[in-house]
Amino acid sequence: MNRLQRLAWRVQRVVAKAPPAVFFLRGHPRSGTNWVGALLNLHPKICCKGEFHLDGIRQTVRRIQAQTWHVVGREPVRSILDQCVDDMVRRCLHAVADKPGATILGDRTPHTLPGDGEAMVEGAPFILAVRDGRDVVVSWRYHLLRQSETVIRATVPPPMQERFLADAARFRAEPGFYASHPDRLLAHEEWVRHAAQRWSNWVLHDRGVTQRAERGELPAKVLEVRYERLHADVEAGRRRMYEFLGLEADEAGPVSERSRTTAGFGREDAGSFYRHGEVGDWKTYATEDARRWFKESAGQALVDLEYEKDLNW
Amino acid sequence: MAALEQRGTRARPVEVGAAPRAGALGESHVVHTDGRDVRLFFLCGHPKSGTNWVGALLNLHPGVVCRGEFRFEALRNAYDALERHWWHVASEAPVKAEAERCFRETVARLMIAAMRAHNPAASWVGDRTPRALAAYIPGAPQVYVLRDPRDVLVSWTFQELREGGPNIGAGPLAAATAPLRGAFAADPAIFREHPERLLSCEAWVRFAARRYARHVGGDLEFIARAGGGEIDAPLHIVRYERLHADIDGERSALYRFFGLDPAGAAAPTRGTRTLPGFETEDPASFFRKGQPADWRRYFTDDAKRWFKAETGDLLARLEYETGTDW
Repeated sequence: MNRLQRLAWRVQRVVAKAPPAVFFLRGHPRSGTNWVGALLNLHPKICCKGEFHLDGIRQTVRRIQAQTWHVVGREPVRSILDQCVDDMVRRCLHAVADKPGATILGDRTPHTLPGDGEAMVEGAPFILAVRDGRDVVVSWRYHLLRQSETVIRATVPPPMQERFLADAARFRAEPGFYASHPDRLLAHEEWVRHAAQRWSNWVLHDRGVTQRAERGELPAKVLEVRYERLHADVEAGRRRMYEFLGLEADEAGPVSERSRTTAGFGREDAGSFYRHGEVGDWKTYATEDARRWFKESAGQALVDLEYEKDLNW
Repeated sequence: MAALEQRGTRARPVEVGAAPRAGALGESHVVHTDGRDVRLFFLCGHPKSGTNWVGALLNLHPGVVCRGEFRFEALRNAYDALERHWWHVASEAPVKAEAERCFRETVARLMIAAMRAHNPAASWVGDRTPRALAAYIPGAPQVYVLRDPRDVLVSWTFQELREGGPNIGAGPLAAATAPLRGAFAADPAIFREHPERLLSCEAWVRFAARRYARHVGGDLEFIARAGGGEIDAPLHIVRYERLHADIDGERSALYRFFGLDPAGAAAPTRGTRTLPGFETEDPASFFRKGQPADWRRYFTDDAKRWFKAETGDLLARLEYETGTDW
C-alpha cells in the first residue's frame, strides 16, 4: 500500500469514528499460522499481518505493574500504561495495514496464549492454530535446516548448535538428502527431544488457557483451528473463522494456489518455506528411535490433544 | 568544580523562556497539556546512590514533581526486542517508526499522569529510577546522582541483607552469603560490633563491585557523549558527598538547572527526609544511616583488594581517589 492509500485508509477510519477491531492469531511455529492468516486475508474486511511479537511488551508491562511499591504499579499510572499498550498494538497493526476496506486487523505471531487470558487489546479474540506435534517437528526441522547460521544460533539451544549446523550444511549441499534418507531427518536425539518437549509445553499451556476460558474462568475468547481438520475441509474451517470474527463468510474470496490458501502445496519442495503442507507426513521420517524420543517427551500431549488414544503408535 | 561535573554541564543547559517549541507527546521533552507547557526530566544513578534523597529535594520546589519508579528501562528493552530478528515486522519501517513513537508517547503519558495526580501545577515532571543513563526523550534533561562506590557497596549490602535481596537471597550467591544472612537475621545490629564481617563474603563483594563498575562505566560514557553534544541530553551531576556537605548550595544549583528560582523551594526537614543523613542508625530500615565515608568502618584489607581488582581505576575516574593506594 502506498502512502496515499494508507492515508485514505486512515481518513476512512477517522470518518467512521471507530477503531478497527483487532484479533490475534497464535500457535506453535509450523502449526499453520501462515496458512490460516492467508485464509483470513481472503476476506475483504480482514487484514492479518505478522510477525509482530508484541507479547513481550505485554509481559514486561505485567511484570513492572506487579511492583506495587513503584508508581507504575499504582493508579492512575497503572491503567494508563494499559491504555498505552492497547494503543501501541492498534497503531503497529495499522502501520502495515494494506487493505482499505478492512475493518478487522490481525496480528499473526507464533506465540502462546497469555496465561491470564487477557488480550493486549481489551476483548480482542484469539484464533489458535494447533497441529500434530510430530508433523510440527518434521516441518520445524526442515525449516531450520534452511536457515542461516545466525538464525540457527538464535533458535537452537547452544549444546545442539554444532551438530545442527553440520546437518544444515549437508542439507544446503544436497537438498534431496532427506528425501533419499528419510531415516536421518530425525536422527538428532537431543534436538528431537527438545523440539517435542517444547511443542508439548506450548500446546498444553494453550490448552489449559482455552479450557479455563471455556469454563468462564478467564476472559479469553479462543477459536481453536486444527490444521488437520482445516486440511480435510478448508471451506468449513474458514467459514468458522470468519463467523467467529463476526463477518459474513460469503464475502470471502476463493482459495487458490496463487494465494497459497489451498490445502497442501501440490508437490514437495524441501528448499521452500512452503515445503509440503501435508497431514501425517511425519510417518515418512519416524524411525523407532524417533518415535520413542517423541513419546517420552510429548507422548501425553498427543493423547491430551486427541491425536492418539494412547502411547501405542 | 571537578572535571566530571564540568563534562556533564557542558551540554545545553535548560533556561526558562528558551525551551524548544512544545510538540506532540514524545516528540520533545516539552509537552503541551492542559493549556500549558510541561517539561519532562529523568533522575538516575546506581541504586543506593541517593536518588531518593535528590528526588525528595526536588519535590520541595512547587514547580517540580518527581516520582519513581516508572521502570522505563524495562519497557525500552521490551520495545528493542520487537526488532530483534529480521522476520519481525518491527525490524523495518513503518512499524519500527510507529513503535518508537508509541514508546516515547508512553513515557510522556505516564509522567503527565503522575504529575496530574501528585502536583498538577508543576512545570517539570521527573522519573526517579535508579538505572543507567539513557536518552528516552530527545532533549530531556538528566540529573545523575553519584556516590562513592564504597559507600554504595556498604549500603547495598545492608539492603540485600534486610530484604533477602534478589542478588544474595537466591541464585549463585545464596550459598556463599548464607552465613552473612544468618548472622544478620539473628541480630540486625551485629555489624556494629563486628564491622569486619559485613564485607567478608568475597563472592558478593566482587559481584557487587563488578556490577557497579559496569553500570557506572556505561554512565561515564553517556556523560562524555552528552558533554560532547553527541546525545541531546542536558546533564546535571549531583555528588552525594557534596550535597551532604552543602545542601543549600547544591540544591540551589539543582533548581537553577531547571530554570527555577531556589527561593521558591520549601526548606528541608526530617519529616520530608530531605536533611542530610538520618538521626539514628537503623540497620533494619531503608533509610539506614545516610553518611558519607561510612565505608571506612567496614572495608577490611581483603575487601579493599577484592574491590580494587574488580573496579580498576574507577575510583580515580570518578575523582574519589587519585590512585589505587587507599
